[in-house]
Amino acid sequence: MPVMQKFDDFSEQVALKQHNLNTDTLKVALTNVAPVATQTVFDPVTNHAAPAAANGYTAGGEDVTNALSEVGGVATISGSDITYTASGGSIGPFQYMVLYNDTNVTDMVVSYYDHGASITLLDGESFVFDILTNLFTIS
Amino acid sequence: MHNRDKYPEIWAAKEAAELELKPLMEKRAAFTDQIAAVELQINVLESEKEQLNDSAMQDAERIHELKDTVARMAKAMGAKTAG
Repeated sequence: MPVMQKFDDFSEQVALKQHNLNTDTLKVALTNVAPVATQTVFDPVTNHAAPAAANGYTAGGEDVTNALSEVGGVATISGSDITYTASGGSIGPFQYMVLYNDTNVTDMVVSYYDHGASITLLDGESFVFDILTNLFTIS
Repeated sequence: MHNRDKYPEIWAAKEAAELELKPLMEKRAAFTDQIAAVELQINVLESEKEQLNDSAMQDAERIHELKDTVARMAKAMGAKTAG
């Protein structure tokens, strides 16, 4: 997984009980627009303009099947790998992935990731959001 | 000697502050009690949410395994990765 960039607002919203990182559904959405750390909510129209919801890309992105566990005062938010496969056409272009809380009424953002270059998946090609150990920890 | 007699001016200032403070705290308590009552209602919904989450996570382990397999197979075919 590329380096996680936390949105500035996330810490405050955790403290304000806007995120239940165990029961809320976190999703990863693709965008070709660079996210900005000061953004507060997921915006698939402008700030995080999404690829067309077609050819294997679902509007709003994919559920990471997140779960929370705690050991020794460190809470770990884990998730499962996400594979986007273009089928019947292309997906993209996109360069960034936005992790946001889909259960939250306003879709508050958590973090974002930069692939480093804009890419387009051609029919049959895949892109894997590989969660190597966990999404992130809170201590 | 009692502090009231030892520090009469300070004692008086403290009592005056406490006198003004009391109704303000009572006024606040009326709202914080209502906040607590709302929190009770939220807790009922949160419990319901947790039960639904338990159901949603019933197959989480298998989902994780299958997503991992899909990712590994995609990578074996040259998938681009963020990882």
